[in-house]
Amino acid sequence: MTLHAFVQRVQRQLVIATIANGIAIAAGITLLTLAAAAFAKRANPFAVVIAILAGALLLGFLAWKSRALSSRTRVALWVEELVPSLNYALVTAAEARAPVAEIESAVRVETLRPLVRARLLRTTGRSLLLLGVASVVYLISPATSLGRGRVRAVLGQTFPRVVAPIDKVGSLTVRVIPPAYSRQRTIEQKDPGSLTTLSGSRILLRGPGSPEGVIVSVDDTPLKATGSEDEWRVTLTVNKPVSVVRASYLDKSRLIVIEGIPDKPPRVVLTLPLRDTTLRTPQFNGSLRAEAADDFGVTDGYFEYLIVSGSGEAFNGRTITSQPFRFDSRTGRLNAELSFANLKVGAGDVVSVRAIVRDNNTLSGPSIGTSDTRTFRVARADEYDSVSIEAAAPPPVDSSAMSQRMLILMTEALVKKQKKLTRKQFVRESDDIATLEDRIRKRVYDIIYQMDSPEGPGDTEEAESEIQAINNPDLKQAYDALWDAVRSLRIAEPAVALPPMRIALKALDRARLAQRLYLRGAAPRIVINVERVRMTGKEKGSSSVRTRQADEDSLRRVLAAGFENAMAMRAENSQLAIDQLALLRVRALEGAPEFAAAIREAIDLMRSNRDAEPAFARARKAIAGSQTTIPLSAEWGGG
Amino acid sequence: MSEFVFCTGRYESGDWDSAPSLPANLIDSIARYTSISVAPSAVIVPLSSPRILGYPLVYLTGHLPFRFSEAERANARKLVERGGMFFIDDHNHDVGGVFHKTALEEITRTFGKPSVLRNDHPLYRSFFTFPDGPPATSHELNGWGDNLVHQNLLAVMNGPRIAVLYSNKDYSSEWNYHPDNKRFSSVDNTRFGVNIVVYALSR
Repeated sequence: MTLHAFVQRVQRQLVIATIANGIAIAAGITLLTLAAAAFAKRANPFAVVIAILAGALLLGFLAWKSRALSSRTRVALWVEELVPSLNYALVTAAEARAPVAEIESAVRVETLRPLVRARLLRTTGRSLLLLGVASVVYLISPATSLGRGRVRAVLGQTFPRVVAPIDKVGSLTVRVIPPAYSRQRTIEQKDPGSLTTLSGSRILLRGPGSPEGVIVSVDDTPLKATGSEDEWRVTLTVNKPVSVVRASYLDKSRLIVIEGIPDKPPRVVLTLPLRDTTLRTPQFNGSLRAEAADDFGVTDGYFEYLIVSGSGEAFNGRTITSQPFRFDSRTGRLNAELSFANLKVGAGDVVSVRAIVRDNNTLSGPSIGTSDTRTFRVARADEYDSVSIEAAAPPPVDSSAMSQRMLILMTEALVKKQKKLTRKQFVRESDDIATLEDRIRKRVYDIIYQMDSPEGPGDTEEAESEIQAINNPDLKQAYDALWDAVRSLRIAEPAVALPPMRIALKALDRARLAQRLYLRGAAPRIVINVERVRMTGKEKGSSSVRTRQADEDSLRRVLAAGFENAMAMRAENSQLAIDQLALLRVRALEGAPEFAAAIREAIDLMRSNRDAEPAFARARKAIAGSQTTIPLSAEWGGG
Repeated sequence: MSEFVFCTGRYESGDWDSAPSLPANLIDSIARYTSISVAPSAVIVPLSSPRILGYPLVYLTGHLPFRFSEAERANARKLVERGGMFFIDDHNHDVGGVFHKTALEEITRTFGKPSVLRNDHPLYRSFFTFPDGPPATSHELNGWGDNLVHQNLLAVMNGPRIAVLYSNKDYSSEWNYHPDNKRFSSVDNTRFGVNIVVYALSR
């Protein structure tokens, strides 16, 4: 190899080495800048730009400084600096257009190569070393998940005084975003133990550090944590009365109890008319008024008229609604005019009026609220206000007495007009009266000699039935007198018939008034199904549905045991005790609200490192007085 | 061993059938709480009939004057002498009432003078325990009848055991309902009736 070719080769190697060094140094400086910003807790996009800019500027500076590499003479001089004994022979050879034999023979290329290689390697090695150090510093800096996470954790455990591991769940920020329709403000809380919000709200949970390793679950349902290198976040929606959010990272965990308050349906009260009304005619014009209110807002409402027409078993109904009323506030008023003429209400119709409103719940609603119903009843033309009673038929004895009185009047009239009648007419009329009188006699006979019903009492010792005659002397006297009267009337002697007829009338009256019969209703015959009462009936081969019996006061015992457990745990690990108390509070929210409130206060006090003893005392008092049973699930449903 | 048949005695005077649902109700209670073999329905037996002697416990009640005929009185004495027991209840719940006066007169005449039954008598422990003696009825507590809560029952003893148990607490009203309605009561008020039956059958 000629010296000229050697210089060319060295030039190429120097260019490559210089570029590599420049890149390594620029990258190292960039990484060191990023790490410094992260350690200074200034890690942000601006810091990244600054770091890249610094690296680029350094790279440019190095490139500018290496501009002499384009000259072979400068390259030869660089080699001459390594080997001063060359006495510019290499420079001369590089500047010469053709190889000079004396110089070629005087300079041995083989001796120069190792020196050049060693120098290049040393320079490049320093640059790469710088890059390596910068990379390590960057990796363990808070700028990387590795640095924030495992490396810092390991380092933190090894050197706790030097590097403290990041507690990703130690400081949580909760942003509560209520549903838009509620028009409530977004609120943000730092480290809440529990929070109460409207059902349907979105919860944004944030913590420091990257999402790697962060486990968040809601009632044991895992949620995916997302976010950047500096912050992890989880979004969830409140859709249950009580939810427990557990955030854990490495050996740390946090509990947050979220209570979801459901949106209440709107309330509407019909203030006019105040009461139901019955109208005599289908003519009515009046005002309707209703007041509506909702916890977040009423959107619209209307009156509904249900008109039912018909009678007996044939009815038909029609529903008419008023024009809608629009609202944009928490309260609203509905006003309308009710006119029977417009509704075409007729006699006998029933008009039911109610107000209906809807709220602005666009998430799970809208919820509907209805008022009480007011009813307008229009009387039928034929009913008015009279009371119609259909008279029952008189009892036999009474009707006999009335008939007898009528026959006496007829007989007396016949006796009076006897002289005006022909014999034939007289006999015929007397015989007619005799026939009627004989009919009465037969009815009295039926009463006297009635038979007991064959369906007598069914008890074993009462089965004897017998034919009984009512031993009534008045009826018997009436019966005998009626016989006499009939005989006399049959032979056309009404005047003779009148005395026994009057005797019969008096006797029937006495029987009617003095001998009323009061019959006790037969007692129902009750036969006890002994097998059923003893529950030893026929076995059908299938199990019945059974209900597990809840232990009396079971909730109090569970809460008391859990509370004492948390108290014992408090001295050793307050965070675990807080978690235990938070879980207890979830159980107590429904059955022991006073205990839950005291526990909530205790948790907040413990979190803020304040004295929680008064709250614990209230919790003990609440649990001591609470006698509650845990509601059962239907897990024993058989069948 | 034959099954127990609840017997209501029918007497000539008065309204012997004024509590028609009581027998079924007590039968239900006996079936519910005890293992006594019991007939599913009760019987009504004329007190004058010798058939009355076949029943160990005879229940008598009414509102109206209470008088035995000669035949009834003779059978009643025979029943007691043979170890039977009467449970006579004043349906009026009134110590000034006609049933109470005439019944005590008739009991004295037929069986002897009744005495106050101590509230620690075995009757009150024969099945259920009633430490305070006979349970008060709602009619007593509501101030009906004589407006008194009677502390004791009366009894005519036949040796060590009760021959005639007399009550003016008006259990006839208290227990006179269909047994299906027991489910509406938190405490079954017919439990003392079970004690009477168990006592009559076991002592």
